[in-house]
Amino acid sequence: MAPDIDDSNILLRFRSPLSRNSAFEDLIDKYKERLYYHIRRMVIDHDDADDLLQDTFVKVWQNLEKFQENSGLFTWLYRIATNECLNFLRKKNKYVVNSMDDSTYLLETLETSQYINGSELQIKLQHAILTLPEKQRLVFNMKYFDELKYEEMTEILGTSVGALKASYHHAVKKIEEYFKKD
Amino acid sequence: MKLDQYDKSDSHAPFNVPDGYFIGLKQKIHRRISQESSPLNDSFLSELNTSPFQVPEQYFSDIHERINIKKNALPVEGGIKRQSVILRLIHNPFIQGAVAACFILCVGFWGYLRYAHAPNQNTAKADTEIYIGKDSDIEASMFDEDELIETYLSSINEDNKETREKVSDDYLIENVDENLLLDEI
Repeated sequence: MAPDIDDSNILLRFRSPLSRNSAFEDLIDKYKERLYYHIRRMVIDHDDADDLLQDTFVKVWQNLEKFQENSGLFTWLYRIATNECLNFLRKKNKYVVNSMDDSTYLLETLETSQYINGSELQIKLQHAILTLPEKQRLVFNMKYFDELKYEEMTEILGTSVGALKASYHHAVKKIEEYFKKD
Repeated sequence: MKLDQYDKSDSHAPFNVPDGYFIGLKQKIHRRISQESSPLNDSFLSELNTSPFQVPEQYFSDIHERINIKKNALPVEGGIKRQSVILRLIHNPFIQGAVAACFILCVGFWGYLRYAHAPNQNTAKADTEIYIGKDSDIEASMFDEDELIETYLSSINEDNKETREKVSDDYLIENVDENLLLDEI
């Protein structure tokens, strides 16, 4: 495991054919859990998250050589993972529409999946998050759970800082209302 | 409840993972990468399906016309049949082989006739030789001696000087009348 290896070290080693494999393994070790839980919060189901995480790292392998370091390495990885999630959800067409009363595939998975285990409050929070529109869910998860800065979120989502702040503010309001109603 | 009151120390909750999931993850990813980089992937196959051959513009649109022109230019049906039979015979490899064998036999037989019974070169030349003196109506004085000798020597293709001299002496002794030789001396 190599959680403390510098990103520039990984990039440098990846560019050499002799050390590419070991650099890639260090990259996986460093970011696998952060990326996994980011994906998992979006798609809820473990098997779906597993597939998407592998897809993400395969794309990283194929494209890391072309990475021009215009953003941080984690930001770039996070963006790939986010796009994989959004494409998956659009294909499935089973994301939550903007309504607190709608039953969706994700809500059902949250209730039935064997790999869901938390307190009532924790599960209820997830319920509340699933009632948000897709982009708002993303913004909320990135800010609240992953604690990303708005500047990093701008690079990932391509949205302005002001719009992101507004989106997050609305998401928080909706969740608090959800808890009040329930 | 306000969100700032929520305990998010366990930020992964309520999501669990199977035991050993992250340990086996690297192997899964490597396996996927190997499958993706196999040469027989979709993009490679679709590229193979693309034809590299180009066709001139409008080629298929007027091809019927071109075929009709060629069809109309064909000769009459009966003539075609006769011609085709002859052509078929000519192009038949068995016929071709038989003709070649006959030709070789003919050439060989002619060669045999021509050369097998042909007289010996020397004998032929001897037939044309003119005997001077003895038993001959032709006298040596009718011919230049040197010329006679040269002619004889050239007939035997002899270039060596000594041999030529010896041969010329032998010739004179064998072919010229003794009395003539004595007169000369």
